Amino acid sequence: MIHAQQSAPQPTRFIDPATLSRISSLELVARTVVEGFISGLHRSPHLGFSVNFAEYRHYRPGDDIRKIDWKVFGRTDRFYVKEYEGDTNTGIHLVVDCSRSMGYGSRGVTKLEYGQYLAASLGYFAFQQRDSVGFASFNNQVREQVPARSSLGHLNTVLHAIERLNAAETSNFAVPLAQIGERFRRHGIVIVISDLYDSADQVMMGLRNLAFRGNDVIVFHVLDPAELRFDFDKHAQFIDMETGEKMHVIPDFLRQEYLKLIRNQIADFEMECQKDRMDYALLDTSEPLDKALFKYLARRQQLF
Amino acid sequence: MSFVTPWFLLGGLVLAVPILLHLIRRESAQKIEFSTLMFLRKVSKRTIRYQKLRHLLLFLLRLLALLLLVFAFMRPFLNRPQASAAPGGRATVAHVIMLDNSMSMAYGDRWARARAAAAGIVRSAQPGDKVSLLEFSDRTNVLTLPATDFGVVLDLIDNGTELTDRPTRYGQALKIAEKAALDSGADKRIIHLISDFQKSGWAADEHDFRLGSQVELQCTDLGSDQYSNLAIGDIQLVEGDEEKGGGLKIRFSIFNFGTEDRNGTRVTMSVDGRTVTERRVDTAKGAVQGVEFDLPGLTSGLHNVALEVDDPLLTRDNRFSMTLQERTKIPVLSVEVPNSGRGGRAPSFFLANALNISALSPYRLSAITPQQFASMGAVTGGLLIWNNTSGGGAEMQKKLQDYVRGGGGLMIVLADFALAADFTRTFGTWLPLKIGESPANPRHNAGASLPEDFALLTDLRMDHPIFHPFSEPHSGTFSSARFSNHARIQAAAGAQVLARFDDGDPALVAADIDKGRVLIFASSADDTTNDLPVHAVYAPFWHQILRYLENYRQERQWMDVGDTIAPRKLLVEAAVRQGKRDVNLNQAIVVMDPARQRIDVAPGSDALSVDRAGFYEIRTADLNTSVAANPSLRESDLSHGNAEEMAAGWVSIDSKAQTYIPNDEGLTAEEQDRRARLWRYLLFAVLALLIVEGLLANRFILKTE
Repeated sequence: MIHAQQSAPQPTRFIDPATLSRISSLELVARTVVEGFISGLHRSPHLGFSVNFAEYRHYRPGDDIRKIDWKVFGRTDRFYVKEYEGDTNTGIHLVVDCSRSMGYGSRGVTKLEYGQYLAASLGYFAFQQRDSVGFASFNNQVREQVPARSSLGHLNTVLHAIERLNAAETSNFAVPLAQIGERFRRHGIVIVISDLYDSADQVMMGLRNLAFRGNDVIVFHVLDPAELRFDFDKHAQFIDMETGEKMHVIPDFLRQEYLKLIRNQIADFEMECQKDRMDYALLDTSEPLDKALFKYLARRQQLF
Repeated sequence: MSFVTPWFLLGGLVLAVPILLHLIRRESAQKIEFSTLMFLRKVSKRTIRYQKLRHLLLFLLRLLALLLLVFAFMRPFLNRPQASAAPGGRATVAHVIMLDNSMSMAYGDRWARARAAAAGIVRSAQPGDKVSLLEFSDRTNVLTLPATDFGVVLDLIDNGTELTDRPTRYGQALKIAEKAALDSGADKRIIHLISDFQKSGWAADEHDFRLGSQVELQCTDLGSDQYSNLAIGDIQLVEGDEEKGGGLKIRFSIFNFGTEDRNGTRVTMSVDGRTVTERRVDTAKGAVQGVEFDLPGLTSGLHNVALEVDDPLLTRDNRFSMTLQERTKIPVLSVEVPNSGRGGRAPSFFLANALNISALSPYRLSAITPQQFASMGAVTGGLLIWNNTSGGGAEMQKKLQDYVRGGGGLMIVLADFALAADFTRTFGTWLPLKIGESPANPRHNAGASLPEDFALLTDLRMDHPIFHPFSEPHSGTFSSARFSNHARIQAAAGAQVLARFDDGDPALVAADIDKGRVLIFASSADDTTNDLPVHAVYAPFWHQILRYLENYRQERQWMDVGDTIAPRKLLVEAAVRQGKRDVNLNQAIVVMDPARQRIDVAPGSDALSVDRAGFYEIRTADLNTSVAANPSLRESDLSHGNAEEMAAGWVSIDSKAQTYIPNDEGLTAEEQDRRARLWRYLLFAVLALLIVEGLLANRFILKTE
């Protein structure tokens, strides 16, 4: 069935995360996502991506207009197309939050599973670009860290590390992220996948620790639709997954305030990341992974 | 603050329902694991408190609405201030409510209407007024003196009044009501008489009573000119015809006091709770139908016999109760010389006929000679007549003396002076009298026809038990009896002369000797020296003599409701009847009324009023007896008097009486409106609260959404 979807371009682009959750192999998940994503681009990723600049040439009808260098056009008022060499050694560091709150999921897929799919897909995608891929996980401490490499066997190591993740303990952003950043041997792209459930100061402190070391940071803020919409209808006793704290809540009365607070939080994160030249993307676990891949791709393009 | 129906307070328990629901729902709330409460915690600081307040406000509004609803159903009543604090200087009014609780008020729904009318009067009273409540029948019970606490009076009307089986008597109750009104100290005094205005309620000896001019009388007439009631009366115990086997019968009458014929009415007789006879009787309106039932043979002991007529309209007078006892005949020995009477008859010839007159007679006379008496052993029971016989020897005299001193009854008949010396010798030593030696009438000899010169009985002690039944006019006369000869009795101290001849000589003398009683009659028991045996009073006279000698007390087979009984005395009599001598009356006496409720007999008191119709059971550990009580037949007559006319007869000329006839509901529209007044306001408040609650709830919900 998955294979059938791959052969049909459109449907495979937006594979639902819930469907992905039925695929037991994370590698297969990653491949399904990435191949589907790439085939939707109608263009081989080996040209134009992750390669060194070769030369400019005049634009010819039939060229992809995305290859037009608009800066040159701005200076010369002529269309030039960039040509690249197919080689790179960019390091991609996948940093996944595996605190207990990441284990929450209201639609069958938890945030952690979504983050795993995303990390695996990005890793696979980067590996396809011949980038070296590293991985780290954390909650209130560094759980696991795999250095970035580009060998085929290393991809499996990364994928296995991602697959082993389980949600546990509370969150802490400042210390673990600083520790992870210290272990990077060379700067590259750091992709942080988390629900960012900590105080905004702590979160930003941790992210800045990564960014200050010369890394390009992409923050994927993964949230469950229930967290984004708070669409509970009955009076219930809510239990904090990380602290075990209990609270009687009548959702109808709190929804507006809650949504206001979380929107403010998202806006704050977005603004703070922008200030620090970090990319920020909010991901809804009910939506396909394409958005994240596009985000990554865009960032990757900006680098080269 | 008082409440008319305080038991509705139990309805307040419904307040617990929303609270319990709240707690249960809180406990059973769904548990949801959520990623973090960091935002909810921030929200709670600012919003939850406000939400809780809004919730609490709605919750309290709903609770308040429920509370007010319960409050309204309890029908609260504000206690009125004292008369001196009457608002606006208005004249205070004392309302004295007379509630008729006689038996006739049990007819139809009269009692319920009467209480409703009384409650209506209380509710119509104004602040500062005083209200008093009396219930009356032939006995007036002041339930509360004039007071300003209307709630207490209303509570008494509902819970403190009850119907009785007693008859109505207005005069006495009106007097007490007038006194209560005058003592109230109010500016204006109104007596509210709530009754069915029975004609029979006005006793003849109260016609001269009138209320003072300071008192106003307002009547609430619950009676009707259309009614129907059957009752039992005129009970007689009669002996059946010998030809038909004799036996006893109960003859009684069914009275139709109503305004319609009653046909096919079932009448039953029950003995000790078991129906033994039944009959259907037709009774025309206003008529009396006689009924006769054969009384079945009764075993020894006391039996509860009840006659009952099936009349659903007024049931309290349907049953007539009585106690019957089979009485064993008392042996009476006449010691006499045979054939010594006039014409060779036995001296006890007339006496035997008088005492053995019917099967109902409690005495059985037999004659023996003095020799037979001398030869028999000690006399231990029965009565003895020493019938014109010589005293005999000392042994015989001792036997007589022992008999009397042991509690026996002895009648000595002395036909003439011939035995005077013998009598004095024999009885003079222990009886307080002597017989004169000279003849009272020497011209006459025994056996001769009555001469023209005769003596008559005069100066009878009509207050004595022997002559008491003859005291009423046309109850028999002794004055026509002629006595040709008589013994001359000289009574000494200790002897009581009960009758004298017209020459002043004692004719009948009584003397109590220790436990026994002795009577001496100074003439013959037959027609030898007088013609008393041919007079109508002869038989009852001798029955009375024997009753006196046996110390007999007529047992009442039934009492009237309102009579007083003496439980200890009744038990003593029961013990005598049952042959029990050593009766211990220091033990607890239990009296059960017809409703099977225990009545306490106060220590040291032996008086108890019978207030209910039916059988009262009196018992100790080893004795028991019963007493029957019946309502007055007068009360069964529901003849309706004209309330206005009756009231006009009670009030003074200066005063005024007002009468109104209640409508079908028993209350005027004005009263009903007053009754509804306070709790209606409360219901309006409940409605207003619910509207406010609805508006607030909608506003909160809309704002939330």
